[in-house]
Amino acid sequence: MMQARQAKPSISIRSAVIQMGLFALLGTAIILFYGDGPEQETVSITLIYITYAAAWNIVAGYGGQFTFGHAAFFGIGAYAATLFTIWIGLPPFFGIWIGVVVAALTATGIGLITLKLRGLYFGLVTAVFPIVFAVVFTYLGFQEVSVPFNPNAGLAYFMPDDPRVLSGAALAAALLVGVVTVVLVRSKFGLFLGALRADQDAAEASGVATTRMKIYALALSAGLSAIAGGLYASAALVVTPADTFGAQMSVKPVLFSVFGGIGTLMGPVVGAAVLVPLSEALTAHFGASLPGLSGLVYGGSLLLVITLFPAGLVPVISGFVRRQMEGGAAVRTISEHGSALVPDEARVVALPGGPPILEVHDVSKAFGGTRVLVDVSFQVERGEILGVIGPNGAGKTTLFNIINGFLKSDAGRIRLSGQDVTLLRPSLIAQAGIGRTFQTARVFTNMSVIENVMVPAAVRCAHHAEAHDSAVHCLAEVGLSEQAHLPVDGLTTGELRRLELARAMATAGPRGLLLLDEFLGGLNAADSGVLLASLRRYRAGGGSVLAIEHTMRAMAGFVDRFVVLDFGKVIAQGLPEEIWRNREVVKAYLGDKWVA
Amino acid sequence: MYALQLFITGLQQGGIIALLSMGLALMFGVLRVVNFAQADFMMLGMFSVILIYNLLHINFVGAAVLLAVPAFFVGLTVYHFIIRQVGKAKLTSSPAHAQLLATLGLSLVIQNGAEMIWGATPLTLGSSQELSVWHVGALVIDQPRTIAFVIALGIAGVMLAVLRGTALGRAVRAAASDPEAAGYVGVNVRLAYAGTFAVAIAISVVVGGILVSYYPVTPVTGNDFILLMFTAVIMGGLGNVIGAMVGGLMLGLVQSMSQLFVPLELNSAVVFGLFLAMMLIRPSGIFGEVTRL
Repeated sequence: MMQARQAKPSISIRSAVIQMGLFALLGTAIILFYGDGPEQETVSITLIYITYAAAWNIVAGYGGQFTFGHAAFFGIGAYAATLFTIWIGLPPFFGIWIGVVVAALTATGIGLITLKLRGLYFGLVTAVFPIVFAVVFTYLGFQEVSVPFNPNAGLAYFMPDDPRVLSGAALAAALLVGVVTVVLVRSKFGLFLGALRADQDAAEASGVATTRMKIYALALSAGLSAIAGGLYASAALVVTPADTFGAQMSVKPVLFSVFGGIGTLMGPVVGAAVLVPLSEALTAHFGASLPGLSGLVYGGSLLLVITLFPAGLVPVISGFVRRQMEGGAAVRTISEHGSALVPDEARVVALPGGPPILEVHDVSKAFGGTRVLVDVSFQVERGEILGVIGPNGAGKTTLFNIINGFLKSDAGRIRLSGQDVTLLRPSLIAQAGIGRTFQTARVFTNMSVIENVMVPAAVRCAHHAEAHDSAVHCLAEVGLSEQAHLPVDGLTTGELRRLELARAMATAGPRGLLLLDEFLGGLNAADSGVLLASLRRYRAGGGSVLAIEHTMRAMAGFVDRFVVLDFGKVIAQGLPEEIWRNREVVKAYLGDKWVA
Repeated sequence: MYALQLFITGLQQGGIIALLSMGLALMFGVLRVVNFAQADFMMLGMFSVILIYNLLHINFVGAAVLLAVPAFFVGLTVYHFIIRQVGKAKLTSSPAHAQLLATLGLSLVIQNGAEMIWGATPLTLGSSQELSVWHVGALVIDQPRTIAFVIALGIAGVMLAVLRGTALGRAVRAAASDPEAAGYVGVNVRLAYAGTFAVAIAISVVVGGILVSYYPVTPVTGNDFILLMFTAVIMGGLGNVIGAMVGGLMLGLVQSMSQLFVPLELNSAVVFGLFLAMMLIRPSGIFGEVTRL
């Protein structure tokens, strides 16, 4: 089986220029070659679908938000280009831009309606919109709108007597989408989109406002799709709801992008450039005797690609080219971490002065009838390392999810440095200075080690250089500097934990609060040594830590104070030696008979 | 009286949508597979019943029931050669996407293949059953629709009874809620998956068989239903079989009753508009999703 490596979110300028330059040259050559013959129509429609698929690829491929309703935006573009010509004599070239704005606004509306939905839900619900639009447009009397023919049509009408003009416009549109994609992917926004695609929760916990990112990406992708729709109107000459808003128009960008390689710059280009001319040619030759042949080819190629090369054709091709060029796989350098030698700072007792960094006040939470947390109250002093321990099911992870905003508590308040954060979204809580790790490490698997840390760093810092420095610093803190540019899928469990810690540090900032969910579980002595040493340094620099573990043993000698949870209640809190002797705690862990 | 008439029609249509949606929900609940081709299997059932009727002249109900067996094996084959294969590979983010895209491809293949065989003109079951109605007072009750509704209800009942009350159903539910743990306690998860997929396909085909008694069929008839089915499944809570049934019945009723207030042409706009409004209020559906942790 071919290794389905995920596309790297970042594209180097050099490779982007080469790819787009080749595409522009080839596109121009093909347009000139076919002149004003009938084949030019196939060239136009292929380039229009390339534009459309590339636009879809932005939100679905790079943002990971599959939509099955992009025809909504395509149709808006087609109708805007046509109707404004009819109504007020505005040439299609200008009407298209009205369509772009309307589509982007519509997408924002759709995004607001569907913002709570994730993954498949989101995709399926978006499929409803074009169907509704088709019904409404039919009802309004736009069943069949012809693009007005203008004998003196200039460039703004794409000069219907010379099909090369439309092809040229479509090529320009495709290049525009390509440039937008490259700029986007290389920007902060692209980094956040990559995080959103890999793991929405982890992105949110790193301070990325995922909902807003989704809406931006959808609106951008919708606007670009409307350009394709507007050009389509000039190619088809007749606009109908079934053609432009129909289900098959929602499926096409999915089909082309997936075939060529979703989340790659050239995937949609290759997909549409192979499939559209193929299907047009087959329809032209056999369409009369074998209706449905083109659809059969579309469906069949999608099935084949998904079964054989699930990542699409482009990754297969580029993988082959790279292997030819490099002549062998790069050998991963194994770094050694001489971390056990890190000096052990003396235990610093809570720094006096200022409000506690975290105040949890009477927090309660129930799931259905089960009360998971009951009036939980405690504080984390600034510069303190506080351990929360308790048997399985004591409510520890729920407590974390409430503190960082994944869950809303039924009652109670949470204050961070005196500021109430109870009702804030997770990304805002993260930005306020709380970083967290997850029980099973959740890293952004589509990124390199340093990019993982760049996500929260970019949230925190205004400038790229600053964010980069911060990420480099955090990686150095956990001893991952040498692995910075490796993909994360080769990391060991210990390295993944260290990466998560670095990401949490970059999220919280130097004087923030880290929430660590069983971060020592399953680690060997060397790895735990590195983690503990970096935590001590973090604390020495003014940071604070709240750590969950099952057992005291794991954290004894490292935490300043314990809070013990049992069945959702705080049954004890105090210094380690006090907790060790506490009857309630012994009972909770060992049962009644051990309490002498 | 008009309202009552619409209510009855809506209920009958809702019964069909409900049963179709239950198959889809079962498949999603157990395998986490979103099957875009589900309604196309229904379309195949419709054409097959016409074929069987023209060849053997047996009643459409008999023909539909006969079809269940080959449909089951077709389901097994599709599961084995496509769904399972694709599920193994990793696409961009999740195998669920790959499986869904595979069913999208399958749907295109089935629809266009059907067009090659049967052409695009609508076919009907050429029997006298089409026009027979009962008159109850001023109400006109369409016989084929009623028969279809009763059969749909029967199949739905059997399906729920098997799921809830038998060892087989328990095994399937166990495989649905935690495939790994179910495997440890002796459930043959692969068999449960394959069987569930095949049963869901068979249900679709049988529904097609009874639907064709009053609904003309073209290769893209499935498109009239698939979005309604997904809507019902999402309204009921993804993967919740009873929720899908309730959702399907509601959709049928809304579709029919909305004629009291808005023109028929805007029918689907009302249905999907209400659906979107519901998604705003309760994004997890009426009964909530059957989550697998």
